[in-house]
Amino acid sequence: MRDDERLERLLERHVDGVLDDVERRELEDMLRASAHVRRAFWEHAKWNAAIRAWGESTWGESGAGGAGNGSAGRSARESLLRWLSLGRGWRGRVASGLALLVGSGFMIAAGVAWLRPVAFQPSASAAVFTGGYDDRTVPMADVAVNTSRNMVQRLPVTTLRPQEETRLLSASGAVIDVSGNAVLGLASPSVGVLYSGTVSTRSAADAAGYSIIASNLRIVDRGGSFRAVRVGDHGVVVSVQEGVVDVQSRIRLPVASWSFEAEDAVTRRSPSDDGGHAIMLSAGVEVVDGGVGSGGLRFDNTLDSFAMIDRGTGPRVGSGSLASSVGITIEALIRPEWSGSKGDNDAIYRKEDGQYCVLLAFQNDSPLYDSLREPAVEAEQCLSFGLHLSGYGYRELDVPLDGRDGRPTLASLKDGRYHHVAATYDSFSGRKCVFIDGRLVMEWQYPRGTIILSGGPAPAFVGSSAGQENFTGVIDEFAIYDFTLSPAEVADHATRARAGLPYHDDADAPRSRERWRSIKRLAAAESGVFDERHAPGG
Amino acid sequence: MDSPANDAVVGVQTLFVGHLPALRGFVISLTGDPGLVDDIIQETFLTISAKASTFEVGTNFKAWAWSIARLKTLEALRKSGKHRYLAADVIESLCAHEEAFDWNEFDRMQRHVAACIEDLAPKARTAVELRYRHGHSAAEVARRMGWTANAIHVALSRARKTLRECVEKRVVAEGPSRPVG
Repeated sequence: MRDDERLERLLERHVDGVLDDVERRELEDMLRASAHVRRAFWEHAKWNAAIRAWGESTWGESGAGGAGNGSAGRSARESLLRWLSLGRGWRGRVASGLALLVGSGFMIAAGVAWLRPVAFQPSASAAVFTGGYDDRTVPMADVAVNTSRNMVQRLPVTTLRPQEETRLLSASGAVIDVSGNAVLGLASPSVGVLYSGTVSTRSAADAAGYSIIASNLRIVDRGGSFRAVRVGDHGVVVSVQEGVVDVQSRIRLPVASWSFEAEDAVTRRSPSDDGGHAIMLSAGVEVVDGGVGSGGLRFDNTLDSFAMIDRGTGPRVGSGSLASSVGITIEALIRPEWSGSKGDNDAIYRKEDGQYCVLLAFQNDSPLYDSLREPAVEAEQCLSFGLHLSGYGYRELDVPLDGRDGRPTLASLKDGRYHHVAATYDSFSGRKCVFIDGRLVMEWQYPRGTIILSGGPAPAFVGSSAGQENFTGVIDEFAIYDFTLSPAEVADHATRARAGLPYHDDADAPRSRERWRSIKRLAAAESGVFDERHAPGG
Repeated sequence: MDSPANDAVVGVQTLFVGHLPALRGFVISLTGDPGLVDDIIQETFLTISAKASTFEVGTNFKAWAWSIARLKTLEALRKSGKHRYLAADVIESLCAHEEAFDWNEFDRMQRHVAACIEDLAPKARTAVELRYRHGHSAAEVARRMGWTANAIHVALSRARKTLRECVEKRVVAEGPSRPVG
């Protein structure tokens, strides 16, 4: 081995903390003897740090909670330096797939909408996805740093309940003061979710800035400072100290949806995103008559029968457009033929980001997984809705298909008709719900402010769990949202589907990737009060 | 929270957070112990907060913070009493070459690293992602990819070389850097 190769090997082991005594002495001797080696040490250190910093800081497609202000890529540090150049005092401006698919070569080119027969094998990812399930811990990014009490407490995606006035520095370069009575979700480097209390944020005019979400409202800092205060059950008072703030209303359309019309299968991408969340079918999937329109996907329960969504991933928890933090809704029209047999699970949707999995599936699981059930139920055949909730871990709301308390039986779902299923979770209420044919059939309550940890590098599948647990029957009108549909909206979608109509009037129209629309701009010294439920234009 | 003294503290703390990736890289390179890094960073943060009023805006924050981090590193290594770290005289002589760890260059590197990683060959990219994004040791990367440890070392070494060439090309194309903090 050449000297420089030997040096590099030693440095690599040094940074890993695995040098043995002999190697350490060898490295020390090399470093003492030569200035060239010391320079090489720093060169290696610098590259190591730069690549590590890339690994730790990359956030991904669009961030959680509907993304930030479109400036997540901006260097927070540059903004901070500009702030400092303005001098002291706050009167001036304040500073500041399977991507990794883990197997590469597996990712399909962006321009390909549908691919039949499928040209990839699930086993391509076996290097990382060893075994039937993926229980990796997907990396979490730091989204802010708590600097109160002169600490550096790095904070990932989480809910903060500070108990005392607390100052955060967001990874997007904003300074955030949180009141002691606040509950603040840290959804991404540039997005906070205000559940209660008061939050003040300040950022430089050209910084990435910070947004505050309150259910259907988003308050977007356009450079300056503002305060958001929760009042009553649903009110939010926004006061602008400096700069301009844009108050926005959520556009209540899916992040991604497919009606699986026959012509879509050959020519069209999903209309849900201007980049398109294309869905690719394996050879075992057939396009058949659907419950709405002319197309649906028929899965035959074989390993070669699945549909994979080609976008929506990100490197870390909370990243990627299919990540949800404040709320989620998964809905579909299904005509199931599930066997209900022990161990034969049929997935409707699954995104398997290790512990941060999201799933909606028919399950008849081993008792080994009973601990994941919340609430605990004694039933074998269930419709299961799984999420990882901050502070609780991965939990499944299992709806027993037993015909009791208004719940359907498996036989009633297998009557040859289409049934609408919807699973929702809302961090603002803490309610996790499953609806069948527009009716609430089961729910569970978590504390208000419990946010979802989801998203990451794993691709999402419809009708399968990464090529396994394949569905039997037809799935149509599949849609996923990064917020919670209300019970009334769910009921409306079920009614429309029964009438052969799509969930949304403009379902076939090309859709912007925007998730929010501006409803009010507030300038310095202006303020306004908004109702988070009924934001104008929402 | 906004008195002038407090402004100074928040100002240096904010800069500190902006420099964290590089500072962590600096400390981990000296200690070779990821478990020790957070303690040293914490101590450094406490010190820069306490001395915030002595930092002059417009002067070299990096030089100031790095010198404090260096002292805190030496202090931590001494306190640990373990012999698994590089000798103090070696660390001192390494720090004499601190200019090699130029913040401006690091910042520019960081800006281009992501694009250059995208350009790596698929297997090299997988190795880099498992190593640096998922934080696995080289041995674990080898296990996951079904390669030998030696093959992973060679692949990572080549990947870093390729990245370096790619980033340098981009930096040259970008033109001279502006001096910053």
